Amino acid sequence: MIAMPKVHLLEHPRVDDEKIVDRYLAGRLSPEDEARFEEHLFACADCLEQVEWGDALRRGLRAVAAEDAARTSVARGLASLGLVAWLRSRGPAQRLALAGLAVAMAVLPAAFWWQRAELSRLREAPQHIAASSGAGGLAGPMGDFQVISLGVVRGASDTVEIRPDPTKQAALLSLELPAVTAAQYRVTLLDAAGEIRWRGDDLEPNLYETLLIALPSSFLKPGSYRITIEGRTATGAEPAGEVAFRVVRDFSR
Amino acid sequence: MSTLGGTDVAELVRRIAAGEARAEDELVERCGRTLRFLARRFTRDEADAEDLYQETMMLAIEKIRRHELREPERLAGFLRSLAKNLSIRQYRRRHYAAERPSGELPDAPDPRRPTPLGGLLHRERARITRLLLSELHVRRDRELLFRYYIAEHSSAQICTELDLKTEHFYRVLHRARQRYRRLWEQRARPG
Repeated sequence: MIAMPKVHLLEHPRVDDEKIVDRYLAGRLSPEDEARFEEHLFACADCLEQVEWGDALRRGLRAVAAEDAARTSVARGLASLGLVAWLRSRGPAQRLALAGLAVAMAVLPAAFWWQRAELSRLREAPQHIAASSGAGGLAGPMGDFQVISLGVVRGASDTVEIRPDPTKQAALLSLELPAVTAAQYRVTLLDAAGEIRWRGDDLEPNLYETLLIALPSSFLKPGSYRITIEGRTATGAEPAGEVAFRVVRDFSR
Repeated sequence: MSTLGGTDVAELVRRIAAGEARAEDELVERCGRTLRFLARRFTRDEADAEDLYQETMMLAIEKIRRHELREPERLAGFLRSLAKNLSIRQYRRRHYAAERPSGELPDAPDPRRPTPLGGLLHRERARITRLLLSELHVRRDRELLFRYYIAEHSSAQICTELDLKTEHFYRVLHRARQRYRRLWEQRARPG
């Protein structure tokens, strides 16, 4: 026999009064209310239509955000993760076979070394990361990411605390521009010592006047960082804003 | 659209338990759409969602036939819990297969990566959304949708930064969504 938790269907007036559809779509209901509302969907055609539509909209917006990020980011690092992840997923026998092949064929270890070097470059060598900016591209669609929003209107003294989720493939840093003053921007990510961790040139704001940067989740180690943004002009570059933030490890995950 | 609303749910369960094939069809007709929506919500992948939907519906009917649903009037909760539990099991199974340190289960897909069908739909979804957003002339609509659904700002923060009154927030959000929906109905709906 299956023991069912004692919850009841939400009554429709409460759904309307408390804007539960919007809160549900945004993932802002408590687990109990979420369960109650999902049960309500079996009995209410109106709410079902609203959530189907809202969910489709949300997925569409996320798909656009992911594509924008892939164009204006260190996404090359994410693409390079593909081969390493594949190799890691092989069983010992297959790994052994691959190792044998690697001995026989000098090309394979060279390729593997290149992939590892690429990863290492992204994660640990700031000067190389800075040089790697430019158009990258994801190996394929990516749905598992965390959006971290940073308002550029904040001054450097107003430090934001962020907690990257290590269970996600990537983090998208969303930099909201106070005003769009240029067609293209240069974004520089600096660590606490002032060392450049990454730089992207010629980044274009998206429809929301936001610059999106995709990073592998492991890229941001705990510590303090600063992002400076410069608008590209005919004569050079003009400061367009900056934001300071601190990366904190999230022990709850 | 058919739902369980207004249905004698306990009677429907009793008919399925008695082996009436038409009652099973009725269950699929009345609960299928919600279950498909929940499956998409739980899995975030179209192909996985379809698998989850099929598995949930099949198992639900089997359990009802075996009289394992103790409170028939709570059919909605039963279906929802079953889908949720199966989605967790599906995720663990795929995750385990991908991480398994032996050659017994080769070529298991990485559960965090979309399936080929999921990838195709993802690209098509992005294309349509981008087209419609470019036609959404009210700039605040675009900002509002992005901040609320993607950047996950609180309603209070959005109100402050977009100079909105708190009591108007959900109405403004609703209107933005409606304007987007009208565009979608004009431009993107098949046929």
